[in-house]
Amino acid sequence: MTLSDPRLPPPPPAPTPGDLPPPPPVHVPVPIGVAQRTSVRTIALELLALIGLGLGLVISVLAGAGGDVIQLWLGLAAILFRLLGWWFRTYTVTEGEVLLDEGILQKRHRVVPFTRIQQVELRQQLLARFLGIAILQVETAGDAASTAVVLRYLELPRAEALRDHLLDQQRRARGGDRTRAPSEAGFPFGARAMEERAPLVRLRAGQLVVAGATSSRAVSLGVLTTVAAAVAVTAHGAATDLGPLVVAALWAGITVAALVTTSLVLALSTLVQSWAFELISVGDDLHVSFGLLDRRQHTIPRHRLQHVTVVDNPVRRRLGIVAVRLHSGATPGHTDGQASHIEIPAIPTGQLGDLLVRAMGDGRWRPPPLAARPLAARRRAVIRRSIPGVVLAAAGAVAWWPAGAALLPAALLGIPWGRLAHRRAGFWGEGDVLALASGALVHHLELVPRERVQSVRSSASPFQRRLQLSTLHVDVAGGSQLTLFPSVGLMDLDEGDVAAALAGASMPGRPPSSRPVPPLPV
Amino acid sequence: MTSLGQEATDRLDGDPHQPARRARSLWVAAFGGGLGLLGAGPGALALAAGTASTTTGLVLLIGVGLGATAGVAFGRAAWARRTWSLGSTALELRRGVLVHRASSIPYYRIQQIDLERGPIERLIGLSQLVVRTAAATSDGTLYGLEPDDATRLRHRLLELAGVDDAV
Repeated sequence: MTLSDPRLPPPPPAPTPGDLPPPPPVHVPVPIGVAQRTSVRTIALELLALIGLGLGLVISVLAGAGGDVIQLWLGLAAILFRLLGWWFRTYTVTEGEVLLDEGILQKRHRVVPFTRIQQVELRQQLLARFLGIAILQVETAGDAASTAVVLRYLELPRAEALRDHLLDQQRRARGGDRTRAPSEAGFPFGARAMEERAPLVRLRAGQLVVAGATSSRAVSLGVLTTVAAAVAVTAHGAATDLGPLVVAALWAGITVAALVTTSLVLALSTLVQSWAFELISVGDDLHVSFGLLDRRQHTIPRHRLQHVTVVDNPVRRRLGIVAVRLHSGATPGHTDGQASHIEIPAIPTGQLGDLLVRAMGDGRWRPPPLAARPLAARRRAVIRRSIPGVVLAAAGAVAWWPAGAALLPAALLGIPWGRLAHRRAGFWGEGDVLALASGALVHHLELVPRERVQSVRSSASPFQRRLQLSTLHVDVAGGSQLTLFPSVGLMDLDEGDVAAALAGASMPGRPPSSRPVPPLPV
Repeated sequence: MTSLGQEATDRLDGDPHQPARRARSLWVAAFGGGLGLLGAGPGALALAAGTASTTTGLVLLIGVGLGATAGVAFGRAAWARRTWSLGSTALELRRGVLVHRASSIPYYRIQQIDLERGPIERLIGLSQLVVRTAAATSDGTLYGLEPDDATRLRHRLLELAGVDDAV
C-alpha cells in the first residue's frame, strides 16, 4: 500500500514559517500568588441543574405523582451545597507550585509542585462549550484520584493561558528550557505562540470512518457475530428442516447485515469522539485535540512520554494502517481512562517511524528490529493455547455425545493460534528503545525507551526453567495495581536475554550520584 | 563517622543477603503449621463422618506428617531463595520456590522507601523495607530485616538514589 492511498492521511506537511496556525489571539495574564475562584459561569451550569430539577418536579406533578416537597428541599439544598462548594474552591499559582483549596467544612489543601506535573488536559463538554468554559486537569504521576488538581470550570482563554503557564513553569523547573528569560514567567502566552508549531497528524472524516470501521473492537465483534449467526442458523435449520442452501443464504445475510451495522456504529462513534483529530508539536509539548460533542485538548510534555503502543489487526494490516498510543506517566484518572494516553486512531504503517521520530524529536525512536523467541517457546505457545480448547471440546463431546463429537476438532484450534502468536512474538533489548511484540490476531508492539524503565522483573516457572525460558516484565511509570495489564511484558524469552535485560535495567552512561556520603546513624 | 557504622554499612554491600534467621523459623512454623492443618483434612473428615478406627487415626497422622514436612521444606526453600543485594547500579531481589522471580530496581528510580513492621514482626523484632518507584508494579519488598539493618539500608538506598529525576 502506497502512502498516496486516498484512504490514508497525507504525510504531514513540512513546517514552513508561512504555514503556522495563527497564534492565539488573547493574552491572559496568569496572576502569581493570588487565590482565585473558578469561573462564575460554573454557577450557570449549576443553575441548569436547578432547571432540570424543576422540570422533573413539574413532570412528576403532571403525571399525577404529586409534588414532593421534601424532594424539592433536598434538591435545593444540594444546589446550595454546590454553590458553597464553588465559593470555597480557590486555586493559586505560586512561583513553584499550583495549590487547590476546597471544602466547606472539611478543608482540603492540595499542592502540586511544577516539577511533578505529568500532563495537563483541557476538556469541554457540550454545555460547557456553549458557556465558553472548560475543565482543566493537572495530572501527576501516581494515583490520579488523590493527587490530580481538577479545576472545574475556567473560562477557555484563562484555562489555556494557565495550561501554557503550568507547562512552561514545569519545563523551567526541570531545567529543560534555557531559551526564555524568567521575567516572562507571568506572561507566557505570547512567548509560546512564537514557538515552533509542527502539525504531525491530522485526520479527516473519511479517515476516521475507516479507523472506526477497522478498529479491533469492530473486527472482533464482526468475528463474534459471524460465529454466533452460524451457530444460530445451523440450529434453526436443523430444527425446521431447511435445505443447506437456505441455511447458507440465511447465514450470509445475517452476517453481512451484522457486520455492516457494527462497522457503521463504530465508525460513527469514532467520528463523533475523534472529530477533527489533530496532533501538533508545540515546542517541547505534544498537543492533541479532538471530539465533536466533548472537545478535548491534551497536552503532554514530550519528556513525560513513558512508552508507546502500536496496535493493529488483520483488517488494518491489509489496509496498512496502525493505531498508536502515546502513554504519559499519569494514572488513568477517576474522570476518564483516556487521560493517561493519547491515541492516534490510525496512521499508515509506513509513516510510523517518521511520526515517532518527529513526535519525540529524537532519532532513536524508530521501531527496532525484533528478534524471534527461541523455538522452545513455540511449543509452549501451542500447548498453553491448546489446553482450554482441549478441555472444553472434551467436556462438550462427553456432554452431548454422540453429536458432541463434532466439537472435537475445536481442540486443534490451539495449534494455529499458538503458532500465529509465536510468529509475531519478538523482543529487542539492545539499543535505546526496548521493543516487545505479541498477539496472534491483534498485534501489539510496545516501545519503551530505556531511560523510561522504572524497574525490570523476571519470572520463570519450573516448565520454563526446563526449557531455559523466562518471562520479562518491564515496569513503566503510572498504571495502578488495579489495572489488568499494568506492566509491559513477554513470556518465554531466552533466559540469557532476560538476565541481560535485568542487568541492564539502569540506563547505561548515567552517572552515579556524586553527592557526599552523609554519616550514618549508629 | 565511627568505624562501627562504616563496618555495618560495608556489610550491606556485596554478596546477596538472606532474610534474618528468625524469619526462617517464622516461615517454617507458619508453612509447616498451615500445611499440617491442611493435611489433617482427610482424616478429620473421616472422623466427622463417624468412622473412628485405627485406619482413620493413621490417615490423620500421615496427613499431618506429610503436610507439616512439605510446609517445613517449603518454608526453608522460600527463605533460602529470597535474597537481596546492592548491585553497582541497582537493587536486585530474588525470590520464589516454584516460580523463580527476580527484580532489578535502578537506584535513581527510587521514589519512596517505607519501613514497615507488622504485629508478628514486632514480636520477633524484624522489619520490612518496601522500595517504591513511579511504577505501581515494581516489586521491591525486602522481608525479614534486622531493625538496625533496615534503618541503615534505607539510609544507604536513599544515598544511592541521589537526586531523583521526577519520572
